[in-house]
Amino acid sequence: MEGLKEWVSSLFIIIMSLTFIEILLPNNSIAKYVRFIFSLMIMVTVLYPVILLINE
Amino acid sequence: MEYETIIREQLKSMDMEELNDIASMSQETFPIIDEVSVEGIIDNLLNGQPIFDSDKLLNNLFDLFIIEIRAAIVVACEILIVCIIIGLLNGMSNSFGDKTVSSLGTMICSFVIIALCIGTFYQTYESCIETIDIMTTTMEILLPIMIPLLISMGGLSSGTIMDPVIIGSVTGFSAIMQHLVVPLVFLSAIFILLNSITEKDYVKKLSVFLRKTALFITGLTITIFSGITAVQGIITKSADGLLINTARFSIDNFIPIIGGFAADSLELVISCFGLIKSAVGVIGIIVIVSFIVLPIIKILSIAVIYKLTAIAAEPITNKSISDSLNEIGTAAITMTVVLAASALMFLVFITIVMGMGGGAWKA
Repeated sequence: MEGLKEWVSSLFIIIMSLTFIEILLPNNSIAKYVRFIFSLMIMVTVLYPVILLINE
Repeated sequence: MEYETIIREQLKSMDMEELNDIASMSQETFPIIDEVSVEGIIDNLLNGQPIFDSDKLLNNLFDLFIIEIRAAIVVACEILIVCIIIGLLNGMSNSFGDKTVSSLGTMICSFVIIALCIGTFYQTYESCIETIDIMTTTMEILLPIMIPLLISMGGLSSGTIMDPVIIGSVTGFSAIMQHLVVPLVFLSAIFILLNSITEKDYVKKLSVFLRKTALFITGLTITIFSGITAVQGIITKSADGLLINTARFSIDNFIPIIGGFAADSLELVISCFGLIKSAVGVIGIIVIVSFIVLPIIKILSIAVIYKLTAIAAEPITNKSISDSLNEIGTAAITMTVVLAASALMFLVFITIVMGMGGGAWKA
């Protein structure tokens, strides 16, 4: 249960902060790549419990 | 021997202080009948009076719903005001010059909405957990009274087999509900809210998955536990019928002259025990129903308020916020479903114990 709580709070914080940073990004060509990398980070966080399961 | 004296003697010898305590506690939260006690219910049954007044009950329910809606409408107004501000910010985004400023404002408003929603939803979560806890306590008080009554009316194998089965099922069921299903619904609500601050859907499917999983687990546990209990009940019932029939026929035929009277009075005593057991079971059902009514109406009114807010907010705010308000209403309804399902489970247990032993030996 503790691990689950940790996962949810970290997911919350990551999505919140990445959305925040995304708004502040300057509107140029590099922004697209940064957004892609952010989505990758969120994906990894969502899959964190699965990664833990496989490692066990 | 009068049947009333048998019942009174038996009632005097039983320790029902805990049951009466929890029954009067339940009537404080939501009154179904004026005075709840085993003696009162048996008196009503013997005099041919109904146990409760259904008109009064319906009026009470309606009043309670209106009160809860009024209490929840404050939060709805706060959410709607924030939604109007979001609409204003969206409309004025051109006059700020830069798009960043207005989207930052929108995001902060979304945070305010999330905080408001999590506040109320956490209350529903806590009341859900608390209600399941209190229902489990009721069952733990009720079963030690009902099972000995079942054994004393001849259900020897029913009593000895059902006691561990039902107590194990109640404990396991409430543990699964409290530590798995209700937290899953809560998590799904958090993810729904989280989804409302982003423009893209990041965790929408995850939240729907969690909610569906919670419902699936509820259905599965109810099927498994009530199946186990019902099957055990059917088998032990025929074994008990055999036992009690043997006892009655041997008293009737092997004891000369007075054997017939003795067998008849044996049946009378057993019927009296059956009446007491049914009265205790009815008390248990009333207690569980009156414990469940208040939280269910509370959560349901919160769900209605969320849905209404979503409807009202749809024209003025962006799609993600009204969608997530709608979804959190669905999550609150899911919470009610889980709560009602666990109450149903406990009622099924009580009914199985009430139905056992009665009439099997006459067949």
